[in-house]
Amino acid sequence: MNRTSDFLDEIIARHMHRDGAADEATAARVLKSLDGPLPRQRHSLFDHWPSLLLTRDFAPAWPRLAALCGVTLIGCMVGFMTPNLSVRKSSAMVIAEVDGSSLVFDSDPITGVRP
Amino acid sequence: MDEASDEALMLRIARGDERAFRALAPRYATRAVALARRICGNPADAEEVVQEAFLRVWVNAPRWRPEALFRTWFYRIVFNLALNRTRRAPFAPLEAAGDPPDPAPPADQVMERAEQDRLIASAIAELPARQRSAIALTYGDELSNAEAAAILGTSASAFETLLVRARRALRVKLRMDDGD
Repeated sequence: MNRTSDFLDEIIARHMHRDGAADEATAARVLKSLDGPLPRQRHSLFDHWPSLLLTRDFAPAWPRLAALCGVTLIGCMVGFMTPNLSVRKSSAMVIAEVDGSSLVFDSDPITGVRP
Repeated sequence: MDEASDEALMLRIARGDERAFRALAPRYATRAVALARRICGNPADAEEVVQEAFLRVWVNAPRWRPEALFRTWFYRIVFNLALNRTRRAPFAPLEAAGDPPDPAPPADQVMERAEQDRLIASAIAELPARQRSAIALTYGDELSNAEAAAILGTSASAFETLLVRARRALRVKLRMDDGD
């Protein structure tokens, strides 16, 4: 068979469109099946919770809330992520490693000069 | 009949408007059935695919964003569902022999056309699913390459390559000797 590309296009197109009536009947059955009750829609939680709060007069004051959240977050990050720094350890370090008496009674702790 | 655009109807559907859904569905039902049938190969699977696609449109409408045409989004749902179905069960054209002959044209023409239909149906059935989809979107739905590529989730140039390969494969299967 030695045919042109146009002929190929023609028979493909004809084949693609040959079942139009059957497709319409199938489509009618599909639409009829959708006449019944539809399932629940899937809502994203984050799409709707601000509006729910607005309807109940619990609308957050966004700038203040954002500031509070930001400061809280920074505080937590500094508190949890700062290495080797805790109240107990720093006070223990003071008691164990610093001799305050020499600072108090030494007349000149830097030069060592005594009267 | 609601004359609003597809996208306007989708915004209403996203708010749970069933009337908008029932106005939008008939616009695409026949074309979606045709697309699904061309990919799946039989009307029974196509019917289930399109029903599932419409239900997905309804259920997921609140998540739809009007960044792309509704048609592209919907066809992509149909395409993916049909492709999944062909992966589960191989493509099986039930009506490869074509429609009953039209009494108007002469009998020899009718027989020749029926034979052509049978050959092309068989050749298309043997194509890989994506090449078959490319043929269906181009010749069946007459979409632009860009839109068809968006539905298949690929670039326009990759889609053109897919289409060229599909046509070349069809020419080989039909023993056509010329080039593009």
